[in-house]
Amino acid sequence: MKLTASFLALLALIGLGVYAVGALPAVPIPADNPQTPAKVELGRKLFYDTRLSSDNTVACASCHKPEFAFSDGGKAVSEGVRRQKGTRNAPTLTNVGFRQSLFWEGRTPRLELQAVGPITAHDEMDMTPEALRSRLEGIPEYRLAFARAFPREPISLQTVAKAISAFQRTLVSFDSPYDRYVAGDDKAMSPAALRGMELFLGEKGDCFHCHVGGQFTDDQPRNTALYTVYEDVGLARATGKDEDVGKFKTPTLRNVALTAPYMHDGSIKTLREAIQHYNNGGQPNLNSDPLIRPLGMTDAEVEDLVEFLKALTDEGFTKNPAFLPPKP
Amino acid sequence: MKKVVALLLLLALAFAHPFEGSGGVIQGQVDFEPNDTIPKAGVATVAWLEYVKISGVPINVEDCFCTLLFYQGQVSATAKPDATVRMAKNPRTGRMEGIVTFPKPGPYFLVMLGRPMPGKQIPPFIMNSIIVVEPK
Repeated sequence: MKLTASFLALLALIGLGVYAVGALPAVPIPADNPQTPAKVELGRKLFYDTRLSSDNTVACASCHKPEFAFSDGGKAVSEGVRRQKGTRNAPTLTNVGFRQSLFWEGRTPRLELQAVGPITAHDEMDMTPEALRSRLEGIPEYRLAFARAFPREPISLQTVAKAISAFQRTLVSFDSPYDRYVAGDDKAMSPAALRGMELFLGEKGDCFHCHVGGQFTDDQPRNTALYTVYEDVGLARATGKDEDVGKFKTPTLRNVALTAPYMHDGSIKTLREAIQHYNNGGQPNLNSDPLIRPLGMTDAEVEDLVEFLKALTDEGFTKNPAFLPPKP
Repeated sequence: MKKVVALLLLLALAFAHPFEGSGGVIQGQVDFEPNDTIPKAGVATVAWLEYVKISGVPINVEDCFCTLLFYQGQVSATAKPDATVRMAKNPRTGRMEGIVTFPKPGPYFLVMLGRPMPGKQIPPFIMNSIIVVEPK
């Protein structure tokens, strides 16, 4: 009976496109930036190097820490050069190579463009393309590494972005209890997590409409009624449209238990509180997504949903030596 | 003459608060106590949802997670509403009600946001209306 239930749940997951039987999905690689071991290794070195910032204090990894699934470990917003505080929560880089849109408002379609943003932003790493090139050309080990990774291109912001993107495309995570469950291990998730999964995929919890598929995101900007008036206007910053005010991209939920605090501004501290926000129907907001409404989940159901979200944690992802800082 | 017409128009709006949204597909009405009189600034006033119709068919207003937002200026996602009311069932009257205190007299744009209550099946909607608030 139990086996039948598990089999039926698996069939439901396949039907919803949450799980593809047989093989893990491959990260899409752009034709103009093919993966090579030299490029990935250079990207890893750059990712962890504070010399990419104007005052040598901030690396990509300063805000995207591997132990927190490449988010900023409990910080609502991150600090850039000269300890300037940003305005948005550093998102996880879990499976970031699969994302169809980047930044919280989803305005950037690919990693190579995204990487330029934090490197050049005055309140993040604050580098100019010229200063970056000059600094890296002055470091012999980088001259060698760039020559290996980009034999026909000079050191530039563009090649830095390409290398970091190549490294980020290796940050793949598909070994959570949930993944083991859908692969056939019906003991991989606790009974509470299984109940939570039913809520997640059902109309009561209704999480799956936005946190859809095996990536647990639709990559679409949505207004989740976090506030009545948003201080950060989200997508409207790019479009200027009133109807886009407060829209932020649906984040992936993979490794979400490691990436607190939550929401674009890190204003929600725990998973339970995040679920409760949706359960309460959000704040009154003119642009509120049509799916936002009170859900009527009991406290026990909220707990079950929390357990399911914890089952999306891939512990190996945070310890994979290939993702950690390179040895000097 | 123009002033008189404007005044009459505002008075008419003050006494009836029909809402409309989604190109006329959604209609509804909010009344103010007592006896749908003109609300007064600075006075706590009961607003209640008389009806909501979708394509002409009335829905059970108890199925609606309805919120009223009142704006004296432009209705915009970047503007803070001057007042906000979540409608909830008053067991004494059996109506979906909320208490609103208008900060200032004058005309207000009303926006009603509607979502289904848990387990209910009504489409999400947004409706608009105008009311006038008198000085205290």
